[in-house]
Amino acid sequence: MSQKILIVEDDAILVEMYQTKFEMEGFEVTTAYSGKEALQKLKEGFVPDLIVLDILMPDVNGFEVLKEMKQEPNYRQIPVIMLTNLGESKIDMNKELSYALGVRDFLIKSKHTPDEIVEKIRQVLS
Amino acid sequence: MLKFNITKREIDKIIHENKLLFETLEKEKKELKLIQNSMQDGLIILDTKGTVLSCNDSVKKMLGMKDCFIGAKRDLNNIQEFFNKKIIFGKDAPATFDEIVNLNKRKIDYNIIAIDDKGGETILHVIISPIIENKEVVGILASHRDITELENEKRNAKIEKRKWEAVFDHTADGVVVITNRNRLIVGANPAFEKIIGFREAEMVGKDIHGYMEIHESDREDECLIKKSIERNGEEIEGLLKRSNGEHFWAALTASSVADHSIYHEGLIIITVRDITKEKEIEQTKNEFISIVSHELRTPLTAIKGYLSMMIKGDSGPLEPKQLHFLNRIYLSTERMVNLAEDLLVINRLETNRLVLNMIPLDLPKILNEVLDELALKGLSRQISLNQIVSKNIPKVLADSDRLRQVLFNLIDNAIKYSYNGSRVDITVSAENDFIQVQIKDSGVGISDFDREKLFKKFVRIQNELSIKAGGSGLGLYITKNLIEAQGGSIVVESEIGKGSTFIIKLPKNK
Repeated sequence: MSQKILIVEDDAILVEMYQTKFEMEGFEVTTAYSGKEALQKLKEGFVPDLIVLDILMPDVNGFEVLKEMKQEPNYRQIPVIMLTNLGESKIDMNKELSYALGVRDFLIKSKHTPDEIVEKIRQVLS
Repeated sequence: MLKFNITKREIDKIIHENKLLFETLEKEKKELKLIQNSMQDGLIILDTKGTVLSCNDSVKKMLGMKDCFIGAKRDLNNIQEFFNKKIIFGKDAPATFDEIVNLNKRKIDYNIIAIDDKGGETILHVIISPIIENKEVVGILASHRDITELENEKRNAKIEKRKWEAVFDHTADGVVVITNRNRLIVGANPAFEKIIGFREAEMVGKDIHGYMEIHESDREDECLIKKSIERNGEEIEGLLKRSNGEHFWAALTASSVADHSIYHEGLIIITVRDITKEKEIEQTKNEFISIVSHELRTPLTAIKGYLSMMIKGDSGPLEPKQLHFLNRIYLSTERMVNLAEDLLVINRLETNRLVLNMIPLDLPKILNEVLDELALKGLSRQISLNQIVSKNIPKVLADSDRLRQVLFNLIDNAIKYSYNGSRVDITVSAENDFIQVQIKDSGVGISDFDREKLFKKFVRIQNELSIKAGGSGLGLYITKNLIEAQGGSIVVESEIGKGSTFIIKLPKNK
C-alpha cells in the first residue's frame, strides 16, 4: 500500500506541482489549501504518513497547525516537513522553532526542486 | 608830584622781562598755530555773531576753503562762494549759532558732505561748541572730523549684515546658534522655527535641550545634540519632537565657531534637516523590495519546479535541443531565484534586521563542504581548487549559514574569473585574534580603478570573463557586509592579468 502524504499549501499551482510529482513517485496525496482545512481533515480522522507543511497561510499558519497537532495523541507522531518561502532573517528563528516543535526537516521552496523534496520525504519515511 | 624811585637798572630789568614775555607769547602763538595746523580735525573759530576769525589747515583742505572766508559771516544762503568744493549741509545744521551763544545748548552736531570737482565725497562730522571765558560765551568753535571711511565701513557692514541675514533667513535648512558652554540658544532662523514649531523669541536664552530632545530620560547616549556636537561637522540622524508633540526624523550637523569676541566660550551652529519624508520613502522602498522579492519566490518556485520535472523527463522524453533550451531556462531561473534571495539579504542588512546566530564553528570543515559543492563547477573548466590549511585552526565565531555563503561567493567568483585550466588556492591560517582565509586566483585580475568600487552595490566589473559569468553585481556587496556583520574584514589585492587575492579575517572564538 502506498504511503499517504498531506500537502498543506495555499498556492494552487504549487499544490498541483507537488501533488503531480509525489503521485508520480508513488505516493497517495491529499491536499489542504489552508491550515484550517488541514486541521479539519485531521480531526475527521485522516492520518497521513507524512505532512508537507507551509508556514505562511491566510487563516491558520503552519506553526499553529503544528501546535494543535502536538496536543492530539492521534497525530502527534506524524512526521512533518516544513516547506516555506519565508524571508531570510526569519528562517533561522523559524527553523529553530520548527525543530523545537518536532519538525523533521525544514526546506526553502525556491531552493529545492520537487525531486529534492521527494528525496527528503523518503529519508524521513525510511 | 609823583616821584618814581626807579633805578636804570630796574628799568632795564623791566624792559628785559617784557621782551622775554613778548618772546614767550610769540613762541606760544607759533606753537598754538603749529598745533592747530597739525591737527587732523578741522577747526574754525568764529565770534559770537558768526564771523569767521580763524581756520586751521585741515579744515581748509577738507572744505576747499578760499581765503576770503576769514572775516566773512557764516550764512548758509551764500556759503558756497567761499568754497571750491560743493558743500551739502545735513538737515540738522543750524542757520545761526544763537542757541550756543545763549548757552541753551552746549553742543550742536551735524554732518556735511564736501564734494570736489571730480565728484569725490568727503563726509564730515561737525561739532559746534562755545568758547567760554568767565562764564561768558566769547566765541564759537566748529570742529570738523573726516568720517568718510567710517561711514563707508558702516554702510558696507550694513550691506554685509543684510546679506548674511538674508542667507540665514532664507536657508531651507533649520539653523540654530547656541553657546558652547551652556548650550543656550542665541538665535534661530525661520526654517528652524518652522521645523521645531517654536518662535525664535520664545527660544532665545533658553537651553537647547528643552527644544531638541525627545527622551525624558537623561541618557547621554540618547542625546542627539550631544552626539552631533561630538562629531563636529558630521551629519547624524535621529528622532526629534515638534512643539505639538509630533515626532519627526531629523538630520543634524553641528559646527563649532570660535567667536571669542562676543561669547568667550564660542558658538555652535547646528543645522537641522527634516528628513521624515526621506525616511518614509526609504521605508517604502525597503518594504517594496521585501514584498517584491518575497512575492517573486512563489512563482519562481513553480517555474523552477516544473522545469526541473520536465528536464528530468517527468512530462515525457525530450529532443536534445528541447533539453538544451530547458536547461538554459533553468539556469536563468536559478539566477532570478538568487537575485530575489540577494535582494532580501540586502534588505535585511540595510534595515539592520539580519539575525545572526554567532557560534563557534570549524571553518576548515565548512570550507570543505563549500568546496564539495563547487567541485563540479571547477572541474567543468579544469580549474583546480586547492586547500592549504594550517594545523590546529581554532574555532571561528560566526553564523554558520552566513560563513558558508561568504566562502561560497568568494570561491565561486574566483572560479568565474579564472581562465580554464588554472588554479585557485585557498589558504587558512590563524593570526592573533583572527582566522584568515586567503582566496587566490590567477585570473583576469582587477584594475586599481575598479577595485575602488568593487564592493559597491550593483557594480559589475567589465572584462572578458564577466560577460560569460553573469551576475547581479550584488555578490561582493553582500559578502563584505556579511563579513563585517560578523565582526570581520575583507581586503583585495590584485593585478590585471595576474589574478586577484581576497583576504578575509574573522574573529577567533574566545
